[in-house]
Amino acid sequence: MKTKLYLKFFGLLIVTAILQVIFPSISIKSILLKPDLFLLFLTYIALRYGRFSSVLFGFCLGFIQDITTQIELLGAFSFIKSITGYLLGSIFDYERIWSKQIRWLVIVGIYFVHFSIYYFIQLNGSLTTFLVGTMLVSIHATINLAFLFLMNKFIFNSKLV
Amino acid sequence: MKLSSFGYPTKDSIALFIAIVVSLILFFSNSSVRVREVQADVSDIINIVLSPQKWYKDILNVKKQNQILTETVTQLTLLNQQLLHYEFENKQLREMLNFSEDIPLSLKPANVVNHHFASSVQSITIDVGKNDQLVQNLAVIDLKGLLGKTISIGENASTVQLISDKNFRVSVRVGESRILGIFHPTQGEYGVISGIPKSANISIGSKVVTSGISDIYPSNIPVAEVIAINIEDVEVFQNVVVKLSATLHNLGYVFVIQ
Repeated sequence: MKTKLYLKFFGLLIVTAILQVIFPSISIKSILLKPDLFLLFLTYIALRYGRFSSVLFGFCLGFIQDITTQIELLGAFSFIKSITGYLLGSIFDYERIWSKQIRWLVIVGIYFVHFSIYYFIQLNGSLTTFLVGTMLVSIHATINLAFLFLMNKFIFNSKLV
Repeated sequence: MKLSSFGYPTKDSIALFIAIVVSLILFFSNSSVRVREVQADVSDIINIVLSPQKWYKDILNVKKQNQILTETVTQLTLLNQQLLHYEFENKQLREMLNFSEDIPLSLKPANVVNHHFASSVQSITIDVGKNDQLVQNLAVIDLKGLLGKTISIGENASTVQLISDKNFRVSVRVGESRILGIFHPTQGEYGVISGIPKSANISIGSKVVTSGISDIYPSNIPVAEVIAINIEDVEVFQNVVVKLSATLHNLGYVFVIQ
């Protein structure tokens, strides 16, 4: 049973990694943006399997993301994804207490935290202004939220969140 | 960190802690410029977050330092007062030494240990006596001029009749023409010179010095200074008012002329 589950995760991970690489990017202020599919995968893990699994997966996903995208900042994504996994896992713990709207609101907040830390590290030392940084965080978080919304609606029949 | 119902960290929290520590070790072990910049920014943020604590500690330190400084200032003020006193004393003693060198007289320095301004004889007590080869009727001077004479001698102390005593008399010379006269004290630091003929040419500001006629007082010791001259038709002599040269109040050190 567990082997089947691990295989499922591994398969999903491979698919996510391939999609992440081949997904087209949009350019804003000479910065390329594409949805963070690893974050969507982490959201799925957190909402389905809870905090402990999401922390472990968050660290692993982040580490893979570090190696594949930015070896110069090795550890940055694993750090962000671990924290994000922990926070998203809280939704699983409070599923029966929080309403759907609250859960979405928490996800919005967590995505903004995730991309804020990400861009704080990513844009550090560049001449990008605070306003542009905030705009990038907002756009990236919105894109990811849109993908999550679509995923929840059409793949999970609104049962994931 | 979230705690279990037993007060121990949950496995979620432990997992998060381990993940964060490993991530940060990975991140900060990299020596790239961007990591260093992030490190610097993180340090800035930590500094800002901890600034109230630093401010509070600074305030406490300032309070403590202020207390220490106040104590130090008080101690230094006291020390300064003491040093000022020493300076004054030193200055006086130096002046005395110069004074004694100028006058070719044998001077015995003495400290004034008591004043008797209210008694029948205005006098002072000095801390030298027979043991210092002092005898009666020796002139006593201070830095500025004649102060009196010894009237009674003990083993280690002597009484000096002050120049301001009503019974004190001394033969003097007035001005450049060195007219002879007799000094009489009147009130406090003032006195008159009797026996100055009307024809004598003296002016205000003229110096009055001992004449040297007496066996007690050597010549040319400053006694007083002329401050007023009255010439009346009915009088034979001029009425010359003088102010004493010696400082009668606040006496500290004197010299006995042996």
